[in-house]
Amino acid sequence: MSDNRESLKLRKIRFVYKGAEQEGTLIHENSGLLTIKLKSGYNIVAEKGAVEIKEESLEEAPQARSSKDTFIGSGPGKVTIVATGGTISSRVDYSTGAVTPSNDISFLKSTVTDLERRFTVELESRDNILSENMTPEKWVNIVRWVKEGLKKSHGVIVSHGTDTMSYTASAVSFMLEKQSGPVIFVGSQRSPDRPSSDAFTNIEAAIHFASAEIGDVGISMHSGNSDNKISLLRATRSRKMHSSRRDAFHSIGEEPMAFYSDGSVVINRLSKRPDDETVINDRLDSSVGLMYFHPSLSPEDLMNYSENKKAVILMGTGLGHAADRLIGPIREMTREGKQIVMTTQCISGTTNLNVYSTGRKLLDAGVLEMGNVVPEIAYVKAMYVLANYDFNDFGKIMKTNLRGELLTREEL
Amino acid sequence: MASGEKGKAPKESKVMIGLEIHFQLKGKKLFCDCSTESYGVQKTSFERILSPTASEMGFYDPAAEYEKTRDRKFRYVSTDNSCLVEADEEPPHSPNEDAIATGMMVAGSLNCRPLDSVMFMRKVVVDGSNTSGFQRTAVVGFDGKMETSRGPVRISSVCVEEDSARKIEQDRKVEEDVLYSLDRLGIPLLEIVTEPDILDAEHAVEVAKSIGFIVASTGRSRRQVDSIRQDVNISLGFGRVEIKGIQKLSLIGKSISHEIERQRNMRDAMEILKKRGGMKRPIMFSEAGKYFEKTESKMLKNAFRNRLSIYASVGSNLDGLLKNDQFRVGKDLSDIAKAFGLGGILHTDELPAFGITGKEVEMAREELSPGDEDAIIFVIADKSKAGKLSDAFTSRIKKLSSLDFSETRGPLEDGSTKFLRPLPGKDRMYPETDVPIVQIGSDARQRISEFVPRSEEEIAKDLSEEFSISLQDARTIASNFLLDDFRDLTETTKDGKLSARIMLQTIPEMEKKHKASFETGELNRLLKISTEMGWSRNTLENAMEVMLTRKLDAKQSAKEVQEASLSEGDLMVLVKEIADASGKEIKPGTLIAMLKQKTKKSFDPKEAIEILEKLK
Ligand SMILES: [Zn+2]
Repeated sequence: MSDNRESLKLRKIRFVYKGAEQEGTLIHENSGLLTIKLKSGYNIVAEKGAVEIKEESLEEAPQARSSKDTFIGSGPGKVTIVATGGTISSRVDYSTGAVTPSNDISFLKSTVTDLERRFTVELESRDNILSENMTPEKWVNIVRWVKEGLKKSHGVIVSHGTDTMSYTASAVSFMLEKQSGPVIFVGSQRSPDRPSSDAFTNIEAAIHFASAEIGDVGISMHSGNSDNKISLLRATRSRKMHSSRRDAFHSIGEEPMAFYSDGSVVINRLSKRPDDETVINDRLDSSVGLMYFHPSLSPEDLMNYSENKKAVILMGTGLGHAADRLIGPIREMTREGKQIVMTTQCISGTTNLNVYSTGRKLLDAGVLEMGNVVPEIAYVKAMYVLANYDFNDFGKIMKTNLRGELLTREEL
Repeated sequence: MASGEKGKAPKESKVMIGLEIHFQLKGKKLFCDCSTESYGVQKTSFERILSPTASEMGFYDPAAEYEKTRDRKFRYVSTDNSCLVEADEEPPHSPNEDAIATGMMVAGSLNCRPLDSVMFMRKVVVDGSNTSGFQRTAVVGFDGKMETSRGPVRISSVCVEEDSARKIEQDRKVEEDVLYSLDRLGIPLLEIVTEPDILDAEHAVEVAKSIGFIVASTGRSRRQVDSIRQDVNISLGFGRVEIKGIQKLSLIGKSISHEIERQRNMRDAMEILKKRGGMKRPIMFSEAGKYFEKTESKMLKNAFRNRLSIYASVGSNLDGLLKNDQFRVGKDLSDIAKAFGLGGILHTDELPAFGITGKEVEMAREELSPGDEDAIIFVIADKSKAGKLSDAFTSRIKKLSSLDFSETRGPLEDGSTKFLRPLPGKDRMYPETDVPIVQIGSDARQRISEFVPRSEEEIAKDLSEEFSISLQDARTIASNFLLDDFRDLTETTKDGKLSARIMLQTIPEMEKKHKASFETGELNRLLKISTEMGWSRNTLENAMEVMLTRKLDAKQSAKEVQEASLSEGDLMVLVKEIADASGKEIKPGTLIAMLKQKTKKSFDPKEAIEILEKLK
């Protein structure tokens, strides 16, 4: 982010509106409407024609207390934060009411206990992408930055918007053939301009997770509605399950890998140890589709959608079913060499195409059943497998557990 | 402002009083579909941390910094009338337009200039009372004026805002443990702010009442225990003091007089301190536990058991100022200690006391080698808090001695006040981007302009006619803002006269007599039973007395009274017996006396006399 605060001037005005003369700050003018900040702090919006400006002067805006330091602390726990989007911190300018995203990480000093003694945190501002604008090409960039980060730090934190964080995190997980330390994705459901933002505790926990002996890619977000417990979820089992709650991220079918509370990390289930080095396969083939089966889905829709795609992940009903009318077209497509992969739109639980006759017909038509792999993760994995393995091995690799995405057993 | 010597010392000036009055509105909450009313059901609880630094811009906000020094976490409990919005787990919905219209009606009646578009702002509040860390608020009208018997009072603004969460407990021992209920959070609140044009306590009450009638006339105001809250801003030359959250109209006057007296006494105390040479040593608490090892004081023994100790400091030149007939600097410091979660302070103006002996105090005192006019201040705390308190007390005394009394204080029942926190800096506000700007359309504007507020007398007259109650009673109900309570009560009793009596006589008299108060929910249930059973007023009042004195619930009280009172049939039999024996011309007084000899159970004398009349 460029910092142009030095040149910021406030437009102080004395104006008459509704017959009363008062002072204020003209914030902006937009399609005939003026937004004026009154001395009381309130903004009012008024039609330009209704406001008579009597006097105007420019005044220096108060200087923000902002630090451009990209390093904090001098402790042994070396952590690199790769900022890709989603705001780490925000600045609120009360003189104009403007909220600007900022990469000022100095707030960590006051929010992370003993930060300066225990950790050395380095910030690398790489990109600023809204979650919904993420693409597989950007995932490749991210895994390269992660690799660089792991060269100099024990662990890497990737800040990311939450909406597509599970896709990116699992893509990074697949592309990391070997990883010398933890890679922790972190986001927030409440923006950091708010005192109640979950960003602070999520990042605090991420710093601790990124210093632990974990050789996996995880997501550091709230366990519940409280700020007192943060979960580390395996990227390849994670899913955003709520549009707004702090505890939106769930680990599907397995418990979180670790928790953070009261200043320490508790490992909940054994995860992979870090490797000696970091190796990436930074190739993805994005000719993969993801489609939700629905009761009126026509063979034409399915065929049209699948054109130009090497693999299509279907989110079937229940144990992995689709209507009889689709079986013929599916058989046709698999004969032409397309991969039709079946997952369940129930999200939780596994596919099983042997239980009902429809399932058996789908298997016969060449459908590849994905078990309990989360649909979106199967979609990301297909891109990785297509780009890095022999096409003939697609089915075999898809059914092999690579990064914890496939559970062979689910506990009650 | 640290030293009063250099600059000119502030002098007492004309008293300036301004009011900020808040009225809750009923119906739906301001930013979600929850009702403003709760059945009192508590659901799940959660814990949050608010980060005041999060949105800092280099501006120092004393109130926010103060909250930070206390390092608190906040707990919340959700209720049947709260949803994800109140829990700060979902963005706010579109604002409640009914509430905005009501705000505009009130603004119009106060001759404010109404805004054409309403834009909500976030006002940063980090004391935990808002889960979001800010209060959403919008100005709907500004620059108004109202006429009073003593000249015009200017109205700065009328705002529509969301109410804060209700504090339901604060554990003294664990200062971070504040529990808030979400039942009140998000209730629409009208805030009416006056300029400091109010002349004295009496005038303040008049202004508050007049504004109250305007709001009551909208028919949208909520009338529950804490539905009206008034903040008083008062200044007599020593900085602005804000007394926050006065709930009763009658307390406004008392609080103002108390505050003026408190400030004058504090000024006098500080002038004595100055004459003695001011504070020569900062407050510095050091451990003094060893002088109290053999103490008989229960308070201290208890503290030692809880791994606390007693700390002592010289209070430089404060001897006699901490507590005597006029001065209460000790109470002031005690309030600060309490704000840090401690029990208060002890000092040499009041010791020996509380089981602490003069000898113990003397030993601790000698160690500190104080001067003649020094006091010794003790505090029971742990080491870290004693350290924090040293700084807090030192800067407190510096501030007071510069005659800067500005701060936020809270009202107490007797009209006095206690320190709450430093005055917040200028409100830190920024736009609430999750809420669209509300344009006031021409239909709404029309409706708003048609609203005509009613005067107290008009309201009383209407009430008197509608419920056939005396104009006197109606006036009392109107002037005490009991209108909606009265309507609700009559909904239950189906009898306006009875409601007026219960509300204006029975309840206050019984509560006064037994020094106890009714639990509203249970009393309502009892009234319902009474209406259903067709009880006489006498029976009902008996049941109410049983409920209040024996702390029974509605069902139990009803059962007791029914068992203890004659049924109508039994009463008739008894009256008949007496009439048969003594003749039908028996005097009512004699009848009652004879009935009382015949039965120990209670009965309604009026009913007995009516039966006798019927027999004739
Ligand atoms: Zn709600």
